[in-house]
Amino acid sequence: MKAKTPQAHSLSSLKERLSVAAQRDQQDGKLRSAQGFATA
Amino acid sequence: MFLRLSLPQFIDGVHSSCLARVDRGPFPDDQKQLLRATLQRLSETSSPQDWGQPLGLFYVIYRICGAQADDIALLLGQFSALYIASADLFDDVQDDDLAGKPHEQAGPALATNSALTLLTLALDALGEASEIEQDKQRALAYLRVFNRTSLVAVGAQHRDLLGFRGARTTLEVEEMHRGKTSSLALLCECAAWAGGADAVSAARYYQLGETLAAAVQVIDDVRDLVAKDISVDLATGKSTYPLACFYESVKTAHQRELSELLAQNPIDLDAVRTLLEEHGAFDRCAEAVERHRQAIFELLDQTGSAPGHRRLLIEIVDHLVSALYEPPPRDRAEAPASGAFGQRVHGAALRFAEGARPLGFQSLPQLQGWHLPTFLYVPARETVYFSDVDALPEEIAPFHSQLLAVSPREALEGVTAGLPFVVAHELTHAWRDQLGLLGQDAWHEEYVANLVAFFYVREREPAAARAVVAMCERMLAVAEHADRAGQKALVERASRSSGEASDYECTPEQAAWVHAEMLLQFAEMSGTFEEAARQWLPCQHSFAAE
Repeated sequence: MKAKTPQAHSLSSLKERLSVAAQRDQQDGKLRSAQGFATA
Repeated sequence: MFLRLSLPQFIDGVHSSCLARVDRGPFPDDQKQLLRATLQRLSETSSPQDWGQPLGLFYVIYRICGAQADDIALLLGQFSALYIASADLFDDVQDDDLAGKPHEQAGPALATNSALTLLTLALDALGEASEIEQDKQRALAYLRVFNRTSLVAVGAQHRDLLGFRGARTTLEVEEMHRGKTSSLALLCECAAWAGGADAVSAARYYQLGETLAAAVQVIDDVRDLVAKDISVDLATGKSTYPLACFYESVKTAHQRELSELLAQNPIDLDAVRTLLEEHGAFDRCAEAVERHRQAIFELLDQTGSAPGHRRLLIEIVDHLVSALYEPPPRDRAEAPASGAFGQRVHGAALRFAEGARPLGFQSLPQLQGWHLPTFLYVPARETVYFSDVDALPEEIAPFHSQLLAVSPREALEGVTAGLPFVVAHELTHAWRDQLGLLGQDAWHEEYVANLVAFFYVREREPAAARAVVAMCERMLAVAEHADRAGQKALVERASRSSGEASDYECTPEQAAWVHAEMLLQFAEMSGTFEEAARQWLPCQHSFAAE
């Protein structure tokens, strides 16, 4: 098996992405434009 | 039309049955309250639509393996949920971590009794699954996986409680992790059995669960170090994966530097983080997680079909690891959606591209099926995600069915009839992106995409335009809580870019009402597709000049 060798995000980005608040933010049932543009 | 259980239905079914077990038990009222609160707290940590939770993992594997028996899946789902709740509570007692949780006032003695009760209730559900399982070999397998996993878990817990601080190498830390998270492997194997897997496949899913748990643990170790104000792991002197990566790869002088930092009181967390980052410890964590990710995909390639649910499992894994690094694309791409709806999406996209090319449209983005009822263009990936109605109709239909107050079958017929419009809408976002015009004002971008797409279908796909108008009228007619005045004001505001970043700030249901309001206004306006494109995608003139 040949695994790719990815690089971890920068420290500041890791902090933001790994914080519990950020995780919950994605789960509160709201549409968000941060990731893309949606049609319902 | 026969629709299988959707994820929210499965999760609601499992949770309500777990609570009913508590209520039926021969327990005093205050004990029932504690048990209910414990289960409620766990279920509230994620929404029923979220696949990235233990029961989401259970259900996706159940479906990949064939989804043979919903009654057994619901019982084994209860077993898994109660088992995890029990293990979690035992862990909280042993780690003195009951503060802020339902057993805070009751104390450790009653909490231990509650943990034992949850385990007994879990075994009750497991026993019922074994009783209704007609194949007795499979019934025995349910019990065996419980015993095997529990023995691994209690051994690892013993080691953890003794403060297994000697683990210096990444291999030792991985071994320590493995036992602590064996409940995820148990859950994956149970889901595979319920789905109809044979012994070989069920064993593969146990391994998949172990590997996923190993990845989760590495990410959790990094989270403890970088995303918290106080690192519990450092404060308690635990061996963690990032530390092991550091010790394994740096010279003695740097090892000493870290040991000195860790000996301080309080520990200078920023200095520790910087030292680890400078020496590539987090990159090595990312490499380890990527190895786990690839191993999961290899296991998945050896088993199961159900392309929609396979893609979901891949997304669960990719979403998880994306907190640590950007996952590279898979070597082996998943088969594109090949059902009737997927083909209609591709057909509508090709027709739009052909019609819009003379006006400056460049190239089609990727088209990728997914489980949500909304379509989405993601600029960073140049991908349009569309509802995978072929493979996951039960996940898509309820949203539209509720919005339009029609049956799930009629709702999906409506989605199919209006499809050329929705595809044109997403491709207009992509077009704006290609021209560098895509702004940060979310509702203005919706206004533009709706206008261009509606004028396109009105000219080129009139049946779709009529279907869209009929659905919008119906949606607003049956929407009891819609704020028509507020929606009209939002449409008016969205006709001009505010020039500032702004979000939708509403639920998907409210967003659908605003879209409907917009489209009914456009239906009254005159104008052509070409005029709309020239106004809102103005870079076309430079193309014409070239």
